[in-house]
Amino acid sequence: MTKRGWTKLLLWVGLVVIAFALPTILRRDPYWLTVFCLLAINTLLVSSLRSVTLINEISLGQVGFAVIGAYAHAALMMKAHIPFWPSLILSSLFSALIALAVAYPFLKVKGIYFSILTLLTAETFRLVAYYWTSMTGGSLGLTGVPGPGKQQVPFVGEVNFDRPANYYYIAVGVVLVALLILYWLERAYISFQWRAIRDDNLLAGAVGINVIGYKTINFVIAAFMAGLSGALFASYQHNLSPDTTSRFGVSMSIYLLVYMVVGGKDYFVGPLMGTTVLMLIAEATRSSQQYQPMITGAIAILVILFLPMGLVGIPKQVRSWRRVKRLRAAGVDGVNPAGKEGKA
Amino acid sequence: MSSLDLWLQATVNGIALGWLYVLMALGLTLILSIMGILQLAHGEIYMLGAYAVHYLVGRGLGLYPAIATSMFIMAVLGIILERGLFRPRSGREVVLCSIVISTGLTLILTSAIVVIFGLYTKSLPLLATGSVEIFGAAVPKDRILAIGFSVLALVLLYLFLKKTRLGLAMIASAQNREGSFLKGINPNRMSMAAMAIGCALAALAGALAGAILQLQPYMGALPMIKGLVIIVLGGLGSIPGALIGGLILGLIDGIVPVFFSPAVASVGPLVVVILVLLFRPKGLLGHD
Amino acid sequence: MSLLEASQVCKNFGGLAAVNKVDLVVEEGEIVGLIGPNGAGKSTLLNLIDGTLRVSSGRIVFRGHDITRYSPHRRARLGIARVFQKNALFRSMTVLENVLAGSYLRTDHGPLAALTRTLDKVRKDPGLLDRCHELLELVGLTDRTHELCVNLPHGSQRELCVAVALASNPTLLLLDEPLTGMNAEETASMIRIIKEINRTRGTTVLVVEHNVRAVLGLCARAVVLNYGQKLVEGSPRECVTDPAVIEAYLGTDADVA
Repeated sequence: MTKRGWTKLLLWVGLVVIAFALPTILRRDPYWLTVFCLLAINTLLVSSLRSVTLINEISLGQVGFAVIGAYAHAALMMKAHIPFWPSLILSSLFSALIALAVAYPFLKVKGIYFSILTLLTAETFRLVAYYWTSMTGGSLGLTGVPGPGKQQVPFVGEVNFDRPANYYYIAVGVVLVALLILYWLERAYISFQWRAIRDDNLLAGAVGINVIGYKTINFVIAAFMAGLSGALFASYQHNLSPDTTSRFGVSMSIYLLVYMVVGGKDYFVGPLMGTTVLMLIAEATRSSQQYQPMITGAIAILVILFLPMGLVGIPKQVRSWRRVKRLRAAGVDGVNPAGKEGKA
Repeated sequence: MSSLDLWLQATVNGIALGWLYVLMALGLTLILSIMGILQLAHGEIYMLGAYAVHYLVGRGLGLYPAIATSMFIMAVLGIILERGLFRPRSGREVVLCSIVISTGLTLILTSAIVVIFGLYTKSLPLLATGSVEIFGAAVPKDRILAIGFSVLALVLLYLFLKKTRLGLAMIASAQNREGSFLKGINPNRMSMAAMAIGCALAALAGALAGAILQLQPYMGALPMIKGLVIIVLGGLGSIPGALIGGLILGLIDGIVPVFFSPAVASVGPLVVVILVLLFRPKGLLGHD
Repeated sequence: MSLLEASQVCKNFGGLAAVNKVDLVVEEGEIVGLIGPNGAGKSTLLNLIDGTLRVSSGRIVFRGHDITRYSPHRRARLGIARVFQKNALFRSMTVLENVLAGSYLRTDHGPLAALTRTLDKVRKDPGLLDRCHELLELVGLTDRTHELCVNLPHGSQRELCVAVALASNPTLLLLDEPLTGMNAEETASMIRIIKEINRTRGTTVLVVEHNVRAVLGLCARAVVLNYGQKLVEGSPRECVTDPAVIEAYLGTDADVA
């Protein structure tokens, strides 16, 4: 393995260790574990959004697939009495299936049209949840979504995973596995096709890449991950509400985008970084809660204007500023400060 | 009230709201086609326009002068936003930038309004009191006025775009940004004009909506989404397209719930949009 | 059987017929030139052949397959490659990566393989790398393998485009104005490359070109389009001396005759 490869492996191991040591560090404080549990669930949702940017599209519909995952999970557990784990997988698959059904028209269009369509989709799914009272509890919301319940864990014995401090392990474990899968995809050969499509979809088609097909695979996987995040959320929160201002409203789609951009959309850890920083800022400013969206919005605008590579990209950004400065000092004008340099 | 009355009232309400959505769509389509960006804070401009009227009326201004002032303020705000935030920067992804900036703006504007005016709903004075008889049923005058103002705004916009130099330059810029640049049209000025007009239209729509319905900080999301749907249906950059898109959306919103449950009806717009995009990817009146 | 047979091909944009009832036959191993004044429908015809656009009516047969309704990637699979008019490259990639991406069809690319094999493994496949380097040698870019493609000068980018298109080992290569914006030296080198491709690999070439002199030197056969219709077909010399062609070009390109 290369030096870079080892560093990355080390980072992964570090992440896993920190994630599972956190309860001990926090002395099993239920409040903070709840926060970090939601943080993990959100990171997965933001990562699913980032995954779609690999085909150069901005999906404002990940929340919609989370809605499907959440309500499907609730219905499977409450109505069909399917146990937690199969239900988690089935509801995510259901979300992926819906994505597959709509993928063709969605991926035929590009850019702004794609974003509009996905935004409309998220809103549509929310409205369906709002009006389909018999299935979703309608506007009053759905209460009593069960968690994993008591389960046998080897060497530990029976654990009640419905307690927030214990559900943390399940959420974090599932999210880490999901992130590993997404990470694998970015190292797999398929990522090269996505990149080709992102760079030039006409040329990608001309060299034989099935553009719609590969975009569909990307979109469906992202929907699966969003659905999984929704299902995890359902068992975490135990009640679901399809209100505009709830987690499933348009504003959540906005927050996801902001988390991603602040972290750095070109980096795999960008979503984790952005979600962590912004959610912790939100926690720190809890006393002035009504100003929170304002702070978040301002951060988003400042980051996209002045740090387009996000927080993770700061070192690279600084290097590119230095380079521009050096070139300017050397009397070269009109250099491109975007930071794309050749490996010459 | 007879059932005919109720039916007619619902129809007039629907038409009035439909026209407001068309106003939103017109602003969005100008901004989208001329600037090439997705301005997701357009709904918040609409909301802000309504609250500006509310504030001005509270300071003792008459409703109509207040609406005009609000439109003017929003137009200026539009120009400031274009210059300060939305003007494309080199080496950035335009679509992503515009989406993030406008969503950030959405968060800032809504929470600012929540902080200043609170979460509770506010109301504006009525545009007019009383009602007129149409086909033997009483239709409130304010609805008719709202429709009238919307149509008037549309006609003025149409004349502006077709008859004035600036309007024609804007159309040229919307159809072909680079081409019109080569012909000596300054794209930045076109963008500023588009934002100014778009924001003024949104302010008008918001004020009218505030007068017929109510004001609340999250009132902008729905009309913005409706406006986007209208654009996709009708075709980007087309005024007749926006009208047809608005008509279709109005029909879906009005008729589908009569025959289906609301859960099914809420899928209606998405299905129609998908069908239109499958068979006419550029919208009904958009050209290849 | 001919390699490519397009019969009565039409393409309308709105009410305008960009290509109108064109018949075009390309035999295996030929270099065919497609010429005509601006807006004659040459690029549109190429777009119809490679599937970027669908015909309004007419039929296209390639190697015995009716490909009229095929999408671009299915046509690529049958052996059609395309070099676009603008320098279409995978802009975030290096020179070598571009050729690797172009080699997509020559790799194990089933969805399962694409999901389970790592990109590094594909990149280090010696057979594949050899083929890529061979192509880069052909177009003379061996010393710039690891540079970002966008940093190359225009002429080299154009040559890289050809290498990317060749990477799938096509039977038919469609070139859309390969010589635009090139200086005399670059032009000569590109003509040499095209001839070499045709000679050593037996690749059939259909080339759209403005530079009529270059077409004269390159092609054995030429087809002249004007206003979306086929005007003349024959040896390039015959074509450019044809009175109808001279009339079509008059005022636009006076040095033809």
